[in-house]
Amino acid sequence: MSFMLRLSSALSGRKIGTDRFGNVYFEGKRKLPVYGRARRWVIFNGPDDPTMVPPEWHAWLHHTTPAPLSETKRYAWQKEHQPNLTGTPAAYRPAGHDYVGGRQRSNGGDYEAWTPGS
Amino acid sequence: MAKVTVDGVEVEVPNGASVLQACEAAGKEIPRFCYHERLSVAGNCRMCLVEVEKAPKPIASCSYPVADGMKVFTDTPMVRNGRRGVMEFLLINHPLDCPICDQGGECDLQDEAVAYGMDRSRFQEGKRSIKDKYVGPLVKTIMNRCIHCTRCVRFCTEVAGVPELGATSRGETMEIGTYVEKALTTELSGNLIDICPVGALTSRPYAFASRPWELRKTDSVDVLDATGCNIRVDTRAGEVLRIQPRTNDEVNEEWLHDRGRFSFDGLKRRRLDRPWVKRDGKLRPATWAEAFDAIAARMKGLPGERIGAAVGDLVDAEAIVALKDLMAGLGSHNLECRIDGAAVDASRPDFWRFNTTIAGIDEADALLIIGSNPRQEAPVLNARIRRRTLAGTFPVGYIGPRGVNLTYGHDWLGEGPETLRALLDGSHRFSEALGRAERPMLILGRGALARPDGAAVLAAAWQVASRHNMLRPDWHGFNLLHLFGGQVGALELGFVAPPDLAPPGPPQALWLLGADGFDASRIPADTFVVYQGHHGEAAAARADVILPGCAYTEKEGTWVNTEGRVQRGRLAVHPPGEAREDWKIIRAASEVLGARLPYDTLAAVRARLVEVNPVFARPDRLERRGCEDKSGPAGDPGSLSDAPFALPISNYWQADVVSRASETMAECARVLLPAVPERIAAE
Amino acid sequence: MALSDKDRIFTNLYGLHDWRLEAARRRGHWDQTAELIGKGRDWIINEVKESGLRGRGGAGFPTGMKWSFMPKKSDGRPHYLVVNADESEPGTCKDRDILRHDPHTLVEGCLFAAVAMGAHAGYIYVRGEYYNEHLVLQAAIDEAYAAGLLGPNACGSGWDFDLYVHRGAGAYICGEETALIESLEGKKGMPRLKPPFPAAVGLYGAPTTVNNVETIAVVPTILRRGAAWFAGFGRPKNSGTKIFCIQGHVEKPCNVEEEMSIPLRELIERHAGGVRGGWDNLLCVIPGGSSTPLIPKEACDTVLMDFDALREHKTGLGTAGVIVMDKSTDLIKAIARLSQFYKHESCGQCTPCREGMGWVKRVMDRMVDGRAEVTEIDVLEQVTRQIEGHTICALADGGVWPVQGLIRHFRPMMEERIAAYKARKGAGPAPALPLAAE
Repeated sequence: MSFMLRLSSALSGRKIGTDRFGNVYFEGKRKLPVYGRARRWVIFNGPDDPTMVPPEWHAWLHHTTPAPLSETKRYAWQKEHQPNLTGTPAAYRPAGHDYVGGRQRSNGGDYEAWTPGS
Repeated sequence: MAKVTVDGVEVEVPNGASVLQACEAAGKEIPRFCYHERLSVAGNCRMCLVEVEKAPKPIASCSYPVADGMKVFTDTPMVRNGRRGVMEFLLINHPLDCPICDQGGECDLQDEAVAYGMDRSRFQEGKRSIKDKYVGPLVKTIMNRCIHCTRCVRFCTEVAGVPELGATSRGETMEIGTYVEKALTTELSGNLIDICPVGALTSRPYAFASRPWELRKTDSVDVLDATGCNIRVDTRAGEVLRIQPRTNDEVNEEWLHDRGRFSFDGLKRRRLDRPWVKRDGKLRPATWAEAFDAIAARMKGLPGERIGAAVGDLVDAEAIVALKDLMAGLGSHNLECRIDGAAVDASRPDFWRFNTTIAGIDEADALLIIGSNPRQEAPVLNARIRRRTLAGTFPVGYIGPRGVNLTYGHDWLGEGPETLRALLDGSHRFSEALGRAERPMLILGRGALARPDGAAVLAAAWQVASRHNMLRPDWHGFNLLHLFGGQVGALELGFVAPPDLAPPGPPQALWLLGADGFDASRIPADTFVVYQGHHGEAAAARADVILPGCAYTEKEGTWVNTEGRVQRGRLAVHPPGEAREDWKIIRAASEVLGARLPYDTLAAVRARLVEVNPVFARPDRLERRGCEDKSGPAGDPGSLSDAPFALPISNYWQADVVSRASETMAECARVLLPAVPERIAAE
Repeated sequence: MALSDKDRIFTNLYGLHDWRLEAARRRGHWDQTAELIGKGRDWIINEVKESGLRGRGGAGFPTGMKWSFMPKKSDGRPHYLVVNADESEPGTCKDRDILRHDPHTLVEGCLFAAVAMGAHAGYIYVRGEYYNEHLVLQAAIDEAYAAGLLGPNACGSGWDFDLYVHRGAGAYICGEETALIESLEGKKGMPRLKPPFPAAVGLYGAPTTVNNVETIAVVPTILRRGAAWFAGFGRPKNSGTKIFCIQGHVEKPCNVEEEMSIPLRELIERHAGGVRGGWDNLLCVIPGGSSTPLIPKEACDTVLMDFDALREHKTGLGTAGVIVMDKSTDLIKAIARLSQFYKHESCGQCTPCREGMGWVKRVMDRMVDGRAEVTEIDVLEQVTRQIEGHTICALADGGVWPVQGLIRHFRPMMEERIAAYKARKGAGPAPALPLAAE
């Protein structure tokens, strides 16, 4: 996160909050002329990756909700937000993929082979 | 002939042709939804509007007969506006769900909407919604998409002969359905999917499986019944996703029976994908080399007359000729292709072919069916018989179980051979109907020959044909209806033991080529059995060595349909695992058995086929022959027993090894078998 | 110049006398029937042709010509006469009075028509709701059989003729001749494709002619009194007498037999006691049953009631069911109700009618409240044009003509209604309605 970005953010906007991953959110001080609303932006905690934004802040960031949603209200069925891992070593690979050390079934799973007694 | 000018192009069409046909003759494509060449004209979609000179209104070209000197315009503002209007009306209540519709990419409405649709809707009201209906395990309905063209209704009533579909209610609330919710009881229901111009009737097994442009299409031929329907196998990534009919007016027109269309998922179950060798009384996985070693160890050196070979129902001619040559090389004459026990006389093609030919049914004017239920044994052929009965006077006599519903009215003559006897001496009432006919024909079911007195039945049927003027140089009315695609090929190649050479004793080695139906209990315990095939069933379980072969979608093969028509199937997907093409397996085995076969390429095998029987030189072409020689097959009609004829297929949906492995067909059997009421046919 | 009593064909239209055979004979029916039949088939057809009789069922096709389309000689198939008594057109009730008060005109007419077209069997398809009427008709036929007027050697003419009554099941579309034939055959009442026309392939595949009740019922009198007498009424090509059904906002709604080409105003004022609140209170008239476009008062002042004069005003005589509406009428609602009727009665066979009628009805429902955009009036009219003339039968045409008539003559009223609704609800920014790009 560059110093200039922080500086310009502090000058042209006001800080709205920080999410649980450490991303900092800003809202502009004045309304944009055409849209009739203030600009909202985020300074990422780490490399710039839009998928880092959790859903609570995502809604606010895209002007879906006027204020960020509560980050504390959790349900049992809610899973933790996860950035997109594609292209990283932690990316999803199906069972049998070479990288997860799997071995394919001999028939590739495409068909069901006959065995005696079946 | 009438002269019609279409957009300035002058064409001549026969009197009585429709304007649409004239436009087609002139090369103008007319959009249509309800019109289908093989169904009656409904004229209700109003999409095929054209302008005719001096007519105040646009006319529906599909239903309007041509007149001499007519001037037709297919691309005027009146026509375009009319079609645009119709298209807009069709789309106001048609869900715009093409992205999730299985018809997407092969939808008539989609295509025509590109030409005549608007880019946005003016319709501000609510759309109509209709509950989806259950019409069976094969056809999925999304009734919101229905545009009420009534093609399906007409197909069911006219072609399939089961008037179970219809429209209830009227106007905007009209719905297509089965009145009372039930599964359609036709063996041709898959064709509803093809003729539906939109996505209202789609394939249930294919639901959400693929898009048409992702599929690799391979022209092939169906072997699951003996009609030899021309098919197109659609595959993606080495997997058969669906099978569709190809048009061949001489065989299947554009229809396909349900077993041929939907049992392909059986190609992925119970497959033999590696050789197996029995060691210590138990089958164990093996390599090809081990399997061939085991064969060589047990078969090499055996006297030829102690070796036998049998081929099954679905085998291609290439494999049959290879096995025949191998057996000849080993000195064996113990060949058998009639594993169902049918007493087919293999001495002359006349005795085993459908001599009238399938197209010839249209010319016949009387029919006698003996011991066969063509509705189950060859549904597409049965549809042609039905069409013939609708076209005009066509008395159909039926000898077989009482109360079989053939989808057309027939005269039930009796259950068993006693009727045959009465027909033989001319005392039967149906003799008169046959006598009046100019081109009478007779269909003898293969099932009627699979009984102890089969030879007598065959001889009696031939004599009935001879007596009723069916055997003439200009007309051959004797027909044997086989059950599966590989049966005729084996007969054409003479895969039978010479009649005068009886084997000296039970075989010590037996080679079963796709002979799934072979009764394993007939094999002596100490016989060495090689089973070569693509699906494992009882015969495979008995084998000492199993050699994995290819199913009909997995090899370049030649099959002969019941008429004797030679047709080529093509490789659509590769065989699973270590399975190999059947003739190559036999070729490899010949090497280890010391009877090396002289061909190494498919072309060489096919050259050998032609050598054995010149019929194989002309695939897809069939010459119709009259009957030159009226002398009948061996067999004494006098030795007919009185046992009634039994039908060979009791379960249409699971009649062969592929469909028995198919889950779709199992579901059909579960739903439909108890539900098919064998109604008393109209007498 | 009104029709004098001596020239009336339906002398018992109001049921003042007995309808039975005895009384009918006294009124002059079944008189000289055998002699007239004896003059031969060609003579009958010729007389009807010369009388200029045009079909009374709505389309106004010359009857004599229609009969002459029947094959002269049978090719082995029987010929059939079918009488269309499925009178379901809103605003029309002329056939009903013939059936219940003067059935013998129809029965006798059937015999003449059957001779003219070589038919030995006739079917009268009676609207399902006409239960009592069908009882009367059946009784009249039974009487005629008992008197030897029907059956083998009908009326001593040497012609065998059987007449059957069939009741419909209450579908408007079964008044369309081919749908009627389908229904008579026991199928779903859906119009057939033409050609082939019923005169070539009709009922049970045999040559058939379908005629309206009134058309058949006037034939005996024409034959008895001569073609010239009948042709003497009305203007050329629109000759004869006609039963008009006048209803709506008139003082005395009635059915009346009147000369063709009578001015509309005279018809209403002489027989129906005039428009409620005086002629100036008239808003518009639907002159020919619900499926013809309306004409505004200016046209009503002068128009003559016949086929050609009304055609000039872009409407039609139809079944001559004159629906009079005065200025108290919510005209848009009235037409919307008609749209609903046609939407309900569409058989669902052809796309434009099946899908379009519902569309028209729904838009019309919104127009009643004014819950629409002004541009939607154009859309509505275009939709009606897309429906019209693109279907197998004429139900769709008849269904959209009232709407077209409304838009043609009363568009300002619809725009006012929309503006009033906007004013009432507060005009938000109107969503631009997308129009079709050509």
